[in-house]
Amino acid sequence: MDVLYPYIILAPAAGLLANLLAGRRLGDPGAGIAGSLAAGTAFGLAVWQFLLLRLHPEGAVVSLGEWIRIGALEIPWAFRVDTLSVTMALVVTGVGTLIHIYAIGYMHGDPGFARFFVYLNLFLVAMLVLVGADNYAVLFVGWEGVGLCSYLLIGFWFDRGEGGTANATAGRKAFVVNRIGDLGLLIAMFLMYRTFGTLDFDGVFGGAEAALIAGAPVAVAIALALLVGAAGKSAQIPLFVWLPDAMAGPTPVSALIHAATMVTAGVYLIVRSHVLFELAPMAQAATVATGAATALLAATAAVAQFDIKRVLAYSTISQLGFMVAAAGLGAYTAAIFHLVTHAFFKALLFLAAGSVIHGLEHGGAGHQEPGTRHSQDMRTMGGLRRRMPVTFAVYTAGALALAGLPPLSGFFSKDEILVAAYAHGPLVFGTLCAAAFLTAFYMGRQIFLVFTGSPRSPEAADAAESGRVMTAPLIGLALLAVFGGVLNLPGTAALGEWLSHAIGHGEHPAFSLPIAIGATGLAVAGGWLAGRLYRSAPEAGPDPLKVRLGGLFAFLSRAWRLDDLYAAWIVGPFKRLAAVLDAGEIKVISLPERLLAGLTVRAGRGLSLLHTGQLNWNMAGIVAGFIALLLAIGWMR
Amino acid sequence: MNDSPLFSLLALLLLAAPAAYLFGRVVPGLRIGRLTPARWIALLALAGAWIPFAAAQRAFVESGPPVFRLGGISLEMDGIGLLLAALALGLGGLVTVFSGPAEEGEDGEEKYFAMLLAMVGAMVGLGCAADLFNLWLWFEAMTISSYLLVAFHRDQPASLEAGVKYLVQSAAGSVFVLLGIAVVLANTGTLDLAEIALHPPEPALLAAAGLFITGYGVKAALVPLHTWLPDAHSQAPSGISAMLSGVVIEAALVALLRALAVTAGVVPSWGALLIVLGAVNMLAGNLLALVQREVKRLLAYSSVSHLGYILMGLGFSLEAGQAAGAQGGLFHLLNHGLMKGLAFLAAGALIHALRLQMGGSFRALVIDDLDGAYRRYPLVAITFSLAVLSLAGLPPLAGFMSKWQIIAAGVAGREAWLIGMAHFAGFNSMLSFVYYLPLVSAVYRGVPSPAVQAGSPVPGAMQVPLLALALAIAVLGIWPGLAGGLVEPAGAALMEMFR
Repeated sequence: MDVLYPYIILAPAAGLLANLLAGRRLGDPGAGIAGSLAAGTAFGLAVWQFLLLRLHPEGAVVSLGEWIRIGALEIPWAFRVDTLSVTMALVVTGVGTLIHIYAIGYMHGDPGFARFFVYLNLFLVAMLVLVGADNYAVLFVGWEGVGLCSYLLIGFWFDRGEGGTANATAGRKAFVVNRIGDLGLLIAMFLMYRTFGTLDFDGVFGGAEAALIAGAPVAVAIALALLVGAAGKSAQIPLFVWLPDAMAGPTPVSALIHAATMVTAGVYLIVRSHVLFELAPMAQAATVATGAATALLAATAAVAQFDIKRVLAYSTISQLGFMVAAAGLGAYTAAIFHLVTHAFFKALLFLAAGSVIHGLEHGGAGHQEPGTRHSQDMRTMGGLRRRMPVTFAVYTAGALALAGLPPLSGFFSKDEILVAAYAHGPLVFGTLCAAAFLTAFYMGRQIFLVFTGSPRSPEAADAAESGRVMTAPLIGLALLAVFGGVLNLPGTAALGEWLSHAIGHGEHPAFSLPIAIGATGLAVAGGWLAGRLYRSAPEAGPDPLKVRLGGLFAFLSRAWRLDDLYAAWIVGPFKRLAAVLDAGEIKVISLPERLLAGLTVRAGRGLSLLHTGQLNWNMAGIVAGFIALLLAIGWMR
Repeated sequence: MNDSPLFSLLALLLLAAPAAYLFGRVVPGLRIGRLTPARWIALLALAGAWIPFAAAQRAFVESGPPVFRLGGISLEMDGIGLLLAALALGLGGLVTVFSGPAEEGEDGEEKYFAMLLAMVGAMVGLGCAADLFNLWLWFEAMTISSYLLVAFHRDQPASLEAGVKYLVQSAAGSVFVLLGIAVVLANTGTLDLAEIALHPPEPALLAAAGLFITGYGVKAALVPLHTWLPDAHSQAPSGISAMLSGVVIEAALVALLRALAVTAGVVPSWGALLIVLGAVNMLAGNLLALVQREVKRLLAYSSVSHLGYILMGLGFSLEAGQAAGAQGGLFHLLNHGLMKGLAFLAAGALIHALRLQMGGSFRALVIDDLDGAYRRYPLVAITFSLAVLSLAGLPPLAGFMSKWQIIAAGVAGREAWLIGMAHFAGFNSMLSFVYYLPLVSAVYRGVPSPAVQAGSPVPGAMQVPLLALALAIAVLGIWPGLAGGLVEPAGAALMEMFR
């Protein structure tokens, strides 16, 4: 089979270089077109690779040369083309291309226009390295690369936000929290190397299957360390706190990186390493627990947000919880299926939300500085259905898909997860059902707050529909969100068949009509409740849910106050410790240094005092030197 | 014997010196373009000198050191002589190019170039001297020609003061040398270096060794005999500062080593003494440079410490009996000539451009004057920082390679105190960053100093030598092997001398 994968990576790399070198000259929208062309080329190549792979679904590995060789450790720049990596590459480049095109409109007029596309292309490069790697070391390169891009793009408007630093702080927070996850991945790699002597996927999995029995401590340790890595990147408990703040980035970034692709890397990591997880039932249980708990917690947080993007951010965390739980349950196809459909409808929702924000900012009354919180507050919206009909239509399609209404894509993928959870036990099933109910509720709340009723601010009254370059990708994504379910329709199970070449057959939960009906019922109920509360919401005044929940609402809106917990128990003590050590460093540790420095300078001054510049002293120096020399020679003798 | 390339080399330089003076004096109108007769004669002589030098080097490679005999006097160009001649010719030529605009219109310009030629010729001869008396004679010739150059600005009190100190202290040193020669002659009956070395060791030669080290040590700036150096090196015209720091003290060191070598049989090894002298020089030079505000004075003290590295490298090889330290030390000698030459020339270019020493005003260049020099004089600033960073020992510049070679040779000695001394050298090199880096950071500061703001452009003739030396420093740092043709025979010659 011809392996095109390196060229798929090369395309955005070329775009990145072009914009890096000539971005300013290409200008606005030239730089965006160049970046989009690069992404589109990558997508075309990925499709070609997909077609080739259909003929030889067993896949292939290509090595571009040696990277590291230390003793027995050999790490090549190797890429693996199999059904899993190509599926991921299709999602990354496909959704990525649409978002690139959208960004041409969204970022129009921004002074950092070319820089934005440099980062976006760099992200594609890193993400493609991540999903295409054939060993954990190369995967780690991509893993860190996407982390870097995430940091750079969250802080893209680094001079904005509260106090002029809030965006930069959000970027830093994302980076630091992700480091904890990265450490988990690193430890997993160290353990793998120690146990199996290699980091190649085949070597590790083959070694694990050959040498380890189920439940072996080393397998559990590796799988748990991988879970920590996944929890960092995929925003699971207890490391999800960075993702809501990451919404400080431009909306295309939220859609591409913080919804559709990068945050799913953790799910991909678990699925890719499923052999290790299957040898560690305890780690699998921990994965399920983490995913289910995250799904519920984030869903409860999403119902209490007012920022249009923060609702979606918590929703993303919740849906990632569904995927992680599915991966832990062994329902890998379901996890990847939900990953794909989620990429469609969540990217759609973010971009549509961006369209709403853009519409408010650039409407008739749009004199607002972009990126300010105000234009993202749902309490200032309302009645946008008439002013932004296209956005309203696609938003509704995305929301229904997310809520899981048949026959939209989210219905099929979520249903598979629920079936797997039902087979596992009532606790996980119940938790995920509750999360599914809340999903429908918060999406309904959002639609009613944003699009129905009457405008609650002058901006909302003057909002204008976004241009063609933004709405066209929205419509494309809406079609995907609506019809994406055909990938793995019950009965055909095309995706499961396709992925089985890469990850084995695993569990294929059968379609269950009672569960499907029940889940649909939950979604309808959630939506109905939202309508009851918010459809007749007063023009101004407190949130109806807030009135009913009281103090609990604030607790939920702060995501169960996990951030406060960290501030009080980790960040605070750490800062105090740092202050103590800092003072100690100055007083104690640097004392010898300062003493030495002071002595040196003083010695120099003292010595220069001997240099009076008077000739007789100089001559005395010569005589003294001669005498000292004679003494020295005598002593040598 | 007069077809010897050595003879042609010396004759060319020593005849060109009076010719430059006479033509400059008698027919000053005989210009070529803007070049005065003294200058074009000097340029021609120093460029043409490479032809006999190349012949001498070919002879060296093919049939051993070329020898030139005249009556009882013999000159022999061994590896060390070759190295010294190359450095003197190279730096002398570049200084001549540089000094054109610097000394243009100065009173007595023809003397400047005549003396420069004489000094270069004397240094070539010094490197080849094969007996103690002629060694001293060439040394004196070099010294005398340099007096006039140090006190070249004879209407400036500071220059005169520096010249007087230089004269008196050098003369005292000469006396020590003469006494040493007398002691040797009285005890061995010969002055030929090779013959004395064959003579059975006499304890009296120890005294001679002490006299030689002291006498030549004054010129080589051994602490505490170095006190003339900061005045002379900072008050001389910058081209001369470059020569003094870059070649003259090194030539004196060569003389010291040649004279000391005749007493090699009297003590087990002179290595230990050289190492200790090197350590003292290093530390004292560094500490004194640390508190300087004047750029040229700082560079002068840094020469004291760099002589310490050279001494230590040579000491390591004598002590451990292996050539690596000698090669490192002699490589550093070559590099120091290039780096310090460049540093002084760059400082001189700034002094010229900022008109600090023109007309009525005459003041030293201080560190604060360097502020923001990069903005107006990018080439000078970059080459100056390259020189300074190389002196500090920043890889991958030449200064790092030779310092590293010296330290590695010490560690390879495998004796606790040698390893300790190598560490001492390393720490000193680190300490030197403390005074080198402020020079670099000043040059790139955002706000130019008043002097820089009021400065005039740097003439092209001054920039060419800066570029050439900077290139040499960078290239030698990356391919130190290029200097192998000079450094390896010189190291071998040193080991031979002290055997």
